[in-house]
Amino acid sequence: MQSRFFQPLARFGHDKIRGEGFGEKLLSRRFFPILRIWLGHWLTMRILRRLFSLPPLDRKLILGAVFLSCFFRVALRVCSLRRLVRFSSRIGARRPSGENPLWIAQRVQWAVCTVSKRIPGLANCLASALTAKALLSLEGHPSVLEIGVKTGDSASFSAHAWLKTQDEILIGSGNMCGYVALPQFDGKDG
Amino acid sequence: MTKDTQVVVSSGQVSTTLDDGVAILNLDSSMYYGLNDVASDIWKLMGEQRTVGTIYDALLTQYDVEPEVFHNDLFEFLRQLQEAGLILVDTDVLSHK
Repeated sequence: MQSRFFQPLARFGHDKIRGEGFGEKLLSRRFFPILRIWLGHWLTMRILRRLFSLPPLDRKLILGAVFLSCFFRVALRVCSLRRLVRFSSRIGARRPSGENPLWIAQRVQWAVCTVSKRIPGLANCLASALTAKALLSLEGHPSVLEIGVKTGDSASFSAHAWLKTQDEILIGSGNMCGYVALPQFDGKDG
Repeated sequence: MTKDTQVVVSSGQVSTTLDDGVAILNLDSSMYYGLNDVASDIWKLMGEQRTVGTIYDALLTQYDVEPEVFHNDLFEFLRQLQEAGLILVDTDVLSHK
């Protein structure tokens, strides 16, 4: 086969599977699926053990952050931003929970950052900010979503979202240099 | 669209001024738009409800441009803004009052 795309890939796989010694045993056709299942099982159990060792609030926030990050990641493709911001503001309790708002904000920040670090690509800055906003709202605490924009040297354009609660940036505080905030539209109904 | 047509920016957007123009976010389509200097001047004039003729007259005195060229460019730009849902035009303006 002379194709420059196909040939190197075929040779790479062939060498790996028929390699000498350790590689041959580890990657043999019979052993590899068993190893993969065992590794998957071991990782799942490890995650579950860690999850259930967390305090109830942290566990709730982590599970909420995973679910909401997935939801917002998909929803941002099909729903309007205005609708999603309104939704994340209104899903929560009408009265704040008895916990200290600052402490709740810290736990939400921890949960959202943990989920976005552990599952790369799951949540961008906007999905993370919306997730944190919804989690805070579920605990009965208000927050404000802001979006900033900037143009670069070669007319490149970029946008960044962050979430503020009690006048402090909770999510998206890194890499804010040069962004000009758009007027607040949180709660702007059309 | 004629010179008597009323135009105003839509409430479904937010915009801010940058060093080299204006950036607009359409809250319904979640799309960002960038405007250059001339377009930014037109955009700023539409902050309040005006007729297209008022905008045309105001900007024609500011820029050294052939009236016919400016007329065509202005109407084309307004048509694009209307298509993007960033401005309300005449009947839309009246129904949102």
